[in-house]
Amino acid sequence: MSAVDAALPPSRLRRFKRSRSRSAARSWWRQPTMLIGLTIAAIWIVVAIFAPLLAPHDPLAQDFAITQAPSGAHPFGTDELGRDILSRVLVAARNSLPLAVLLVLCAGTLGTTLGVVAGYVGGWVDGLIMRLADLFSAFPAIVLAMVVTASLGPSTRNAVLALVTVTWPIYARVVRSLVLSIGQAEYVQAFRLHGASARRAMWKEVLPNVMGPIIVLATIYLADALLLLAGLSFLGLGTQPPTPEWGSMISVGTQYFQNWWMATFPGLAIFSAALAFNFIGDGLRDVFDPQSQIGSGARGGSESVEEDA
Amino acid sequence: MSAVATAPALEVTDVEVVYERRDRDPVRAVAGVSLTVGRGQIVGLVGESGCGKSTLAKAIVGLERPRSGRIVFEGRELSPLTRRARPIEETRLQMVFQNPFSSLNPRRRIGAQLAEALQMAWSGSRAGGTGSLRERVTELLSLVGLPANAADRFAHQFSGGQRQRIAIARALAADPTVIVLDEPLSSLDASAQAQIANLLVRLSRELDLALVLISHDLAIVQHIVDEVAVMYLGKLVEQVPSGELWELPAHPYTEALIGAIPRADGERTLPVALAGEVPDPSAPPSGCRFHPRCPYAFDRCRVDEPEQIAIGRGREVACWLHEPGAEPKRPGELAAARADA
Amino acid sequence: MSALLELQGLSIRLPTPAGSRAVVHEVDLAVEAGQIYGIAGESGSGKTMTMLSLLGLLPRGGTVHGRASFAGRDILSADKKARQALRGRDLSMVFQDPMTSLHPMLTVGKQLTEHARKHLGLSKGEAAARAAQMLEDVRIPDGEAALRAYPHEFSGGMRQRIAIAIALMCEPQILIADEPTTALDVTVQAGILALLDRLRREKGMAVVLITHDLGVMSSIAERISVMYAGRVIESGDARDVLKQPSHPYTRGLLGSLPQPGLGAGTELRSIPGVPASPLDPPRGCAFHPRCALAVDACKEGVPPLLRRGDHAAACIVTMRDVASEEVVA
Repeated sequence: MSAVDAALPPSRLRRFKRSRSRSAARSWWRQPTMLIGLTIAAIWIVVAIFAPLLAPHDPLAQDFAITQAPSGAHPFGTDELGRDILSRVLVAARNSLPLAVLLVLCAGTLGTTLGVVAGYVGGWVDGLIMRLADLFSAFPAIVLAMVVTASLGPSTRNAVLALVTVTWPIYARVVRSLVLSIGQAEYVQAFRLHGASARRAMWKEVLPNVMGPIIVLATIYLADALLLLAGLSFLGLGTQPPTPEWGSMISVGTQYFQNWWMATFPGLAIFSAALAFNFIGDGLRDVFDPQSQIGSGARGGSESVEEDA
Repeated sequence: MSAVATAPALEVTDVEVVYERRDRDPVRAVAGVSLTVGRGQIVGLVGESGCGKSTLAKAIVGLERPRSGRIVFEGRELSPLTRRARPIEETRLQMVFQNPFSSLNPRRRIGAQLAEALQMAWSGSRAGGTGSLRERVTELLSLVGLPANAADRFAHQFSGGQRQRIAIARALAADPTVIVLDEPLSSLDASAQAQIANLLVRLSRELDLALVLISHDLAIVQHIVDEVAVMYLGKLVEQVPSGELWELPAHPYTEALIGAIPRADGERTLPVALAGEVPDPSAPPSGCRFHPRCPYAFDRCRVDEPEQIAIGRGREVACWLHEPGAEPKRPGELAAARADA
Repeated sequence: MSALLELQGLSIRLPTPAGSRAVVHEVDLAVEAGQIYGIAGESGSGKTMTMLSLLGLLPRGGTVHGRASFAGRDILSADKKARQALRGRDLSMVFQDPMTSLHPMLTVGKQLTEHARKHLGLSKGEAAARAAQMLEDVRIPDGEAALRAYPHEFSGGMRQRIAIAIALMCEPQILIADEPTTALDVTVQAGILALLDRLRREKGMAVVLITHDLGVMSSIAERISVMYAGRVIESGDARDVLKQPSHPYTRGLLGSLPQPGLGAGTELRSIPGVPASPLDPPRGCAFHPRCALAVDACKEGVPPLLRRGDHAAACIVTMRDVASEEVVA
């Protein structure tokens, strides 16, 4: 799993390591952070699905009562066009969350595929893919994404496209190094000695062991995706008005900083969703750790295994 | 077929493995080794860490590409592993790895790993697939002394000794005639060590299975094996039936290895340390590779490299103290005789 | 008592997912000055944990109970500072893998002198001279050059000797060596054992040697305690324990060792089964499921250490004669 370590920034790495050293035998659902993460994520998914029913007002309906502080009628206040912020935050979940998931799925699939190809084929193909990955990760993600969206034109689709371009190297690097290190593992060599071709060993022994870390990584980066998308919208390069989106709401809100509620509530929405995904990612890491297989109740437990040597 | 039947199970001839290193001298990890393993025979390959024994093991099964030399398995010359599937005939040459914690897939149940190995052997229409896969897995587990329910578990649920049994069971799935075992005992506790050692001997006898047992522990090796090959700095220095080894080591290095083994007799006798350090294998000493640490070295040892010569019955030694064809004697005696002469 | 290091009824509890569990039970031992004391046992027997507890190095949440004193001073109740001073000066430890105790980025010289300067208040020059002397003592050739080298430039055996040199810089009264030779070849191991024996003779240093290898134990230890599943199950003079082992487990361990000179194919007498987990030991005597001599009473209560003179074993079968005496008394 050292490859995952390499792909995570130091602050993340510390958390990754800490969570790893936690008692592995504890059941995953007993971890409070995993439980909190799952609860928040579940709430957001319900909100996203039923947003039109939950929203007290039409999120696009403008009113003369602009920039009203939170009150009984508008618990989160209203924005500069008199729209209900609570309704906009709720409805925005339908836009922001699926986009983040889409982004991670696309970048994860592309990155994993390229990483497997690089690690398996090797040689100049490996060199080419990894140099491309270096190229795309040499710039700050948001800057590169700005260049891409600026040249393709600002839209939701282009924002996702741009962010896929800048985030796939994360997955490619991790997958490549996992493929290389697991490919050298003794159990893979033993499998090959039984007559498995390199390709078969790849499918049967290497890839299943790569998938766990990748799912963990993807979940943690789901939070990043949310923030990046919000960032692009904040800069006016993502989802276009009047569609409600958390990032663009914050962007507008910061222009009215005396009306604190305009940026704070969408900000809290991003914060809570990002936190939830981080918690789930951490928890999943423990689930995928074979030492803590759910239900095996193992502590190197050889209790019921008897030998007749 | 008769030619194959009488041929040795495994014949290693002049194998040399060289590691190229950037900006540094290449390392001849294995500097020309020849070794013959008969059918059902247990051969021990012993030496200190860094002597090249693990590299030789990998080269034998094809995980390492030798620079030169031949490896002939059941009359068939082997070539190193490529991306392609290994020919089914060659899979009867198996390997058990040193570390029982990394030699099993952590995410697959033991049963699935064994079944997979069995299926590969069966797809080569061999090993007479009687009974269901599940029955055969149970059979393999019982062969190594594990209960049938072990199949439903994961590797981390077993102790080191049990994992080593599973690794052996997996090798047996290919219906092998030769298994190369790289330090199979070194990471185990004393009681597990004895269990696995006994298991290996039993399997070899019951299945007419040849074993190449690689180890740094001469004491346990000489218990298990029929013949011991002693390796120093990439070369074999002595080959001897294990019965004669303890009483009559012919090479000074073998003698030193035996002297260094501590005995649990409660007598508080310190084992004898071998002077000096293992030299850098990229720049081996001139002449006999062992001469800087050898208490009996004389002029010729510093200049000429000794070849392996036959002494006594079925013994070989690479040391200038011995005359070809002479009866084996302890190196100390021969050195004293030389000094007198 | 004149013992340098004395443990009385030392127990250790560690947190586990299923709650706090005792992993070491009521260990008594006394190491005298200038003595090599062997603690034998397989992995998980609690031998390392016992020694780590003295240094305050237990895993998080671990607790120690009972008494431990060093030169008459209580160790367990000592404050952090006093314990640190003890750990640095009077009591040193060497581990199985020298790379865990050597800093890869610092020169050997730096690692040798830093410690001594802090604890002994030596000047830079004095510390360097002492370090060179120490390397010579552990037979590292060309000490001057070695001081400027980094750990990775040495072989495994030399690294372990350097780790020992560092441990000895402050002339500790006692050295705890945890499997110091397990990762090494026998040829190198022999050198380390000779070194430990020489230091005991020349400097009067006591050594607690933790090892699973009874051969290693036999070559230098004067007294031995054998541990199984967190308890001392046999202890006594090394010669007595190894020549007339009284606990079936000790007998089994000795029996499973290869006998030099016995030819090929002779079966090793192995102990059946796997070592008991210290977290969840069998009821009664923890060894009874693997023991050929076990009787019904073995499943009842944990057998006490029964003494026959200087030699003690926790077995109600082999020590039956003593057992009945004690019951009478």
